Amino acid sequence: MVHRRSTESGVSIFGNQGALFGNAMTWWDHDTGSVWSQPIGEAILGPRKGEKLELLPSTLTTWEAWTKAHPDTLALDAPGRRSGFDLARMAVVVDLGTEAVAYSIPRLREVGVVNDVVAGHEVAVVIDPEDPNRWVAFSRRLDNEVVVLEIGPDGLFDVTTGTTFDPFLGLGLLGPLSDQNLGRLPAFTSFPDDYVTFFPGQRLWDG
Amino acid sequence: MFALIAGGFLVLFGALVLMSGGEADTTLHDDPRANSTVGTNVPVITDAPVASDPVDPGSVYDPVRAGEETPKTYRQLLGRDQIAPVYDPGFTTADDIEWDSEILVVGVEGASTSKAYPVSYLNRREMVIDHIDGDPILVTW
Repeated sequence: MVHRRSTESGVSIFGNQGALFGNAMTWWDHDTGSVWSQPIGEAILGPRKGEKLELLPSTLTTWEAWTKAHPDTLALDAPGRRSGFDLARMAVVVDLGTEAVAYSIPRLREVGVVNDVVAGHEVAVVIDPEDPNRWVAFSRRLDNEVVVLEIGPDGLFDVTTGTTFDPFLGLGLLGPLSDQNLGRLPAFTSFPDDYVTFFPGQRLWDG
Repeated sequence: MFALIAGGFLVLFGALVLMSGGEADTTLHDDPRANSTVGTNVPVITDAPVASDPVDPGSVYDPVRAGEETPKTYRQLLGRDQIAPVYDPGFTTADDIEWDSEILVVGVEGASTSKAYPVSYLNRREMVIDHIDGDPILVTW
C-alpha cells in the first residue's frame, strides 16, 4: 500500500510498531508516537487517534510489465528476488474510504474489465489485454461523461462513444473523448482471506 | 528539553531549505541528510531530500507502554522498529538494476517520476519512507 505521509498536521515519518491490529501491521509516527493501522491508514491509539492518511494509487505487477509501461522508472536500490507471492491468488482492492471492494485477479483475467460503483463513484478495474500481470483501477468519470468500458479487438474502449484508451496508462487514444484520460484510483492488492479480515463486512467481487 | 532541541533543529532545517532552494515541506522533523543508499555499487538517484531520521523509538511516547487501553484485536509482538523500516531509500535506473523480469514490484507513479519497489524486499523490511516528485509517501507491505 502507498499512503501520503502528510496530513493537515504536517509531514510525518513512520516506523514499525511491531504489533498487529486485526491481524495487520501497525506503524508509529515519530512526532507523537501514535499507533496507526495499515489497512485503514488511521491512528488507533495516541494523540493523533482518528487521524487518517490518504491512500494513493499504486500497482503490483512484474518488473517486466512495469518497465514496459515506465522505461524511465527508478528502482529501489535493493535486491529483488522471487517472493512466493502470486498475482493469480490475489485480489485488487479498490478503497475509496467509505467503501472498499476486492476483485479476484483470476476472475478479472477472465472478464478483462469490471464496471462498478464504489462509494458512489463509477470505477473500472482493468486487466491489460497485452499483459495479464498489469491491472489498474480507473475512475470512469470524465469531464462531462461517465464511460462504460469494455475490452475489444482494439483494446480498452467506451461502449457509448467508441473512444479507445490505453488500458494501463489510461490515455485517450482515438475517438470523441480521446482528448481526455482515465484517472487512477487508490487501490492495492491483498489476499482474499486477509481482505475479509482487514475489511470486515465489505464486498468481495468474484464475478 | 527534547522539544527545545527539536525546535532548534527545525529552525536549522528551515534555513537549510531556504539556502538550498529545496523542497518546502512543512516537515515536522524530516532530516535533510543528503542522499544515502540501501547498499549499492551503482549510482544513486533521488528526486527529493530523503527522509531519514535519527529518532530513538524509546524516546517517543508509546501509548501501549503508557497504559492506553488497546483494542481487542491489538497484539504487541515485537518492539518498535525491530523490523527496521527503510528510512533512507536509494534508487537507481532500470538499466542499472539486475532484477529478474518475473519478480513482482510495487509501482508508484508521480507527476513526472515513477518508482518500483521489489516485493521480496518489501516483505522483509515492510516499510519504505520515501518521496515521489517531492510528495512524502509511505510504501508498506
